[in-house]
Amino acid sequence: MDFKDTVAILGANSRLGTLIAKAISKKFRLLLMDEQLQQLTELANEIAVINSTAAIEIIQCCKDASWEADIIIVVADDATQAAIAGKIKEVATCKIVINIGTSANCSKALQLLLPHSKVVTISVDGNTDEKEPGTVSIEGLDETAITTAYKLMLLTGLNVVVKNVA
Amino acid sequence: MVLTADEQGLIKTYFIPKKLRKKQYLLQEGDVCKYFVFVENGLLRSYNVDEKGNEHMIQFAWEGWWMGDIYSFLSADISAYNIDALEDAELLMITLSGFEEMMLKVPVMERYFRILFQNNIISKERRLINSISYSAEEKYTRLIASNPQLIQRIPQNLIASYLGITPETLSRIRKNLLNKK
Repeated sequence: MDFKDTVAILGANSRLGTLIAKAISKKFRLLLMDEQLQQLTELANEIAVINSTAAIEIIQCCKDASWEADIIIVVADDATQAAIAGKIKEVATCKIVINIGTSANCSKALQLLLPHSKVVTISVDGNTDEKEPGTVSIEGLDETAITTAYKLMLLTGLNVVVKNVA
Repeated sequence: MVLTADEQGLIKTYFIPKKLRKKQYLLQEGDVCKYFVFVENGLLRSYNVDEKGNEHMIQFAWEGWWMGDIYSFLSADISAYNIDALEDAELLMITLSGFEEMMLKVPVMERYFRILFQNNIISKERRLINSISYSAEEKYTRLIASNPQLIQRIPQNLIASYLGITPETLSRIRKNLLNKK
């Protein structure tokens, strides 16, 4: 079986976006999206070296990436999140949307902006270094979405804590 | 069948919009069919594969058609079918829980699906009659009479498989039909 769910990472060039993309590339087909095309291409090439069977595509439109994806990961600040939510709202219905940020900048605004999506908020506290992994907290209202986010974050090697289950 | 604006708005919240690229799988044999799918754009096929690796076409679905393995979808048992895209496709997918909840909240949809499933039974009966009662040439002419766009969009070897004949037989039939014109 070579059937893999497709994950769109909006903000793939960010530190967390890159970490997740590298960590999950063996299990999922990836759609990498960000503004800097050159940096995205370098990331895709880097993943291809780590994992030669990785299925990766670069997409520059967040709506197209989200439309094609089964799971959407958003790594962005509040203002950008609002802009992204406006663009992807109609193609993210019923989909799992994972909003990821550091404990300093992570907010739950996306749930309100995407009322018909299964939004999970993940906050990363501390390092994303493999030698001294930080802690990841997962919060959300949908149990399936929390479980999916949990399994996905386990692949990163970080310490994962579920804070809030519906 | 008329839906109010509220009903339309509510129905939209149950469907997962999904783009599928040509050759991508929606379902693979051995997996549970988690979605019943409406094709907005593009073309899907369902088929099974025998022990020798031969593909047998079950159904094609294009704009306005539904696709899925109903048995697997309703029972959560594994599917014997594969479903993939013959063309890039834009789909609206619904889960079983969403399907049931939608019909409770928008009862007119229950009527819609009853009619859809009735038509599906009739269509399957007709296909069975076609396969046991008619010659290969009759099967082909009946198929293209009822679905003229098949020839434009679906490769001949897949049409042959759908009809249960070899590609060589289909090629011969097409030649005969051309000569008759």
